[in-house]
Amino acid sequence: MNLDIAAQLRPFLQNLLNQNMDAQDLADNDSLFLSGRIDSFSLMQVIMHLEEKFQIDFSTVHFEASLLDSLADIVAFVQEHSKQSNLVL
Amino acid sequence: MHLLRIFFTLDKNPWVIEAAQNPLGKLLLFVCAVLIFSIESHDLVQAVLFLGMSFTYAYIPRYKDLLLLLFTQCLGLYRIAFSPNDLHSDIAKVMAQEHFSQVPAWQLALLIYVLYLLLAWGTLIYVRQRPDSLAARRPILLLILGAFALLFLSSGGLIDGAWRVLIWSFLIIYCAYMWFFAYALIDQSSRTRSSDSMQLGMFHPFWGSTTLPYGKGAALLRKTRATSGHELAVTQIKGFKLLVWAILMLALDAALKYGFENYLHVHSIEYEMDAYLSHAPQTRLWQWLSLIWSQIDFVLWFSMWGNMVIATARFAGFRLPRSTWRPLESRTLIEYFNRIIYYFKELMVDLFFTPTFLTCFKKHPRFRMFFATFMAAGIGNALYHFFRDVSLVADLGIQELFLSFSSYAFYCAVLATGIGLSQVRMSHGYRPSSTRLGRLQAFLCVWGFVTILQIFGDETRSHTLGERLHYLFYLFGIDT
Repeated sequence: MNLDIAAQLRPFLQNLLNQNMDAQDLADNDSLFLSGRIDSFSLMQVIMHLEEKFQIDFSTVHFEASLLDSLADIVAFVQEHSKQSNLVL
Repeated sequence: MHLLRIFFTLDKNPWVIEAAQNPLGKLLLFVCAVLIFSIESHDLVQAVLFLGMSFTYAYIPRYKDLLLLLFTQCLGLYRIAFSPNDLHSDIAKVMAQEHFSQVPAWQLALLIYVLYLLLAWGTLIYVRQRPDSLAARRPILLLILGAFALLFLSSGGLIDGAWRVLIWSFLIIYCAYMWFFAYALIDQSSRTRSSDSMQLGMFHPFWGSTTLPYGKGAALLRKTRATSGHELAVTQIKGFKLLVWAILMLALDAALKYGFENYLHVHSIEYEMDAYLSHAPQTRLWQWLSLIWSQIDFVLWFSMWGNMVIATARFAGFRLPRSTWRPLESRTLIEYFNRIIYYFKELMVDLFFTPTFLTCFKKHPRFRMFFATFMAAGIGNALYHFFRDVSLVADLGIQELFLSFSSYAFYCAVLATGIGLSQVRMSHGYRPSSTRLGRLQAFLCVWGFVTILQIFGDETRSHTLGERLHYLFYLFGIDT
């Protein structure tokens, strides 16, 4: 897992969890959406964050929520799709 | 209290989890589940059949996809061929209109169902082989256009006789399985897509559903399948707890129904609206009580029914989220729908909200959120309910079908606007206060809104939008 990307994303996700009254720490492979810790509305906030910070164009990728289900999943997703757009991280 | 605590922590009790993994424990769990399930179904054989399939599925580790297909389709064919159901009566209505009596309705339903499954299978293969085709890129749009085309062909006066009967029968089957097919189609472009047997095994899966796919599609199932004996035992114990909870909701609903309807003589909204329109209304207090009772009845019924279905799926080893989860804790409108009818909200999000959000108005964040929400809670919601009740066209005719839907369309528009505005506020950092007063305020706002809106969301189609608006004004003391 790319630790730089993870370090950028962790505070954002932790903040989302806090907004949902979830004060537990976030482990790399903790399920966020399928476990119900974050709802589909928060998923859209994750998407907007990734669009803004990593310039990912979600209209060009096949999207399913399970691709962003954990911090590790999101990091892998960012690595794959930011490479496609030649973004240097 | 001690017993309650034991019950609530059953799925965390190592002894119970261990017991649920040995043959005697499995048998005991099955017998208890059957007995509790039959309280609702009033049919021990049906309970044994449903739960027998679930437990068998859970305990046979090989050929899971084929077993899912086998159980689901055996039950589907049995349901269509041998048990009296709405599909038969809907098909029989148009057969009578067209004086078509060459075959009984059940045989026609069976034939069309098999044809539909083959066509669905062929379509899955097609979209997989041609990912750039319109069917692969816009599957939901094509599904909806297909339903409208079948509706106009069968009921628009364009054809008659045997062809009308055939197309009508296809429309009825098509709409009954439309949203299951939608999930199967969108899964085709996934890199980890499931086999065709699993996709077709999810067409009204054996653990039960309505036209709404409880358990969503194969994408969620493959993620939530228990993968070890320990996980399966925990999942099944959670299923058992949920089943008991569902039956408690059933009992509470029955007790309240007795109290409200037999003791207080508070009736349904439709009844009260009829009384109002015939100039013989009860007092306003009773009208308000009727509105509140209808909302309670709605929530309890959904809670009972949805959670029974999910409990049955959990017995099969799927770690699915509950259908209804602590609805009274909803602090926003979207949270209300998330907590009341989770799988309906998910359907709307997966098929309408997410695709819109990812592609439209990306440079206008506020409008983007509002528009995507409107597409889900407004357009998607309206389309779902329109096609769910499409068979009404046989009685009403096509013009009246649309006209009588105006009240529900109004409900969807107001609801979507409310949820959309709530979403926009949330996306700009607004959060309801978590103080006791803040929670009470949020509770009153959310539940007040959905309870009043129910006047238009009632799906009987027996009153016009105008009549419902008059009734709303009357409730607030404005006589029009």
